Amino acid sequence: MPARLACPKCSEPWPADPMELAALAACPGCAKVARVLAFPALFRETAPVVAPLDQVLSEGEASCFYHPAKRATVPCGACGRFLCALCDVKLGDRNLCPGCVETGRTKGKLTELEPARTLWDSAALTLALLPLILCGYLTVLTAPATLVVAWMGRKKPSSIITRGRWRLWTAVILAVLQIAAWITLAVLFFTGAFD
Amino acid sequence: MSAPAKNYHKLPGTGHQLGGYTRLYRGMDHLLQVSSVTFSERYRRFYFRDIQAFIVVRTNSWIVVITLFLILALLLIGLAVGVGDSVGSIVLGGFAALLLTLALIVGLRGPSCRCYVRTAVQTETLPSLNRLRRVENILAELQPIIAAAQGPMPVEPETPAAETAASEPLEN
Repeated sequence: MPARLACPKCSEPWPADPMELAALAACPGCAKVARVLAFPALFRETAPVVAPLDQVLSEGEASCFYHPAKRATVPCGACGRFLCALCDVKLGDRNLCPGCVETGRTKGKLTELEPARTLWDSAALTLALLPLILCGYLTVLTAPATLVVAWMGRKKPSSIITRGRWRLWTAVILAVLQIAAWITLAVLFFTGAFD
Repeated sequence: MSAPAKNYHKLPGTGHQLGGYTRLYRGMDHLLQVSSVTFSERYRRFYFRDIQAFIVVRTNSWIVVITLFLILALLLIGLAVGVGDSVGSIVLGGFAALLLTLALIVGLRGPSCRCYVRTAVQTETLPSLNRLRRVENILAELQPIIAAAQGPMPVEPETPAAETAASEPLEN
């Protein structure tokens, strides 16, 4: 049975018919002005979850690496193991086995599976800039900390969205300048230049 | 096993939240919602083949915000007129002008809305799609891409009457 939409506000079920749904101007329940843009996936019948008979292995056929009794339908795009329909994990245009998916996920090589990333470059830049705005004296602590954060994040991937490494390099340059300024001040102080 | 090169195209709009923001990107085969909070980003992916529908519900938040700005601006103008000091009048008048400008900007951005994406297992809000005019443009851009990814409708396609109703903007 195809899925049926409901109002996100009042949960009133909306028409199941595609034409009525497309013509919907307001929710019949709460009268909120609404528009629905439906796609074919909404009207597809949900297939029952049962293994089709053609997945059962016949004599002389290639079998799944993980399920020897099942017919192989596709090789893994990474390791080449034969996979049945159950073990085939589709990621974009690739077919992978559960083992390679797990390996790629733990090593961070499958960007499609990454739920979050830490922005080390933004953290380093904030650490370098914020004390300059709030309290310059803090840079005696934050400048080395910026270098540590930049070092920790130097090989970590940044945002999934392509962006340059300029934040990291700006933070490093600022931190180096701040440390240089403190060293200069210290040298001047101990040589008696302020007397 | 190398990850394929991903090119993301940023879709207009930013949803602001406490300590961060949310933006929407169009990838090769999916929409990527990036929620950035301080120094971390969280990703939600909505694959074109899985998207069942977009639901756009008009909201009144833009009217509330404009009304609030106008009331505050009027109060400040009243105070600016009432106060005897000329410097005070200029400062209060400046703040009133700022509020009027903000009200104008909110008004020019058009009616507000809330957009939801529906898949077989979830209905998620897209906070970056919060302006009706912008949503109309983005959905017009996404519709052919998603339709191409999903193939034809399994039932009778839309009639001309329904198409007219679907293309009718919510602003009317």
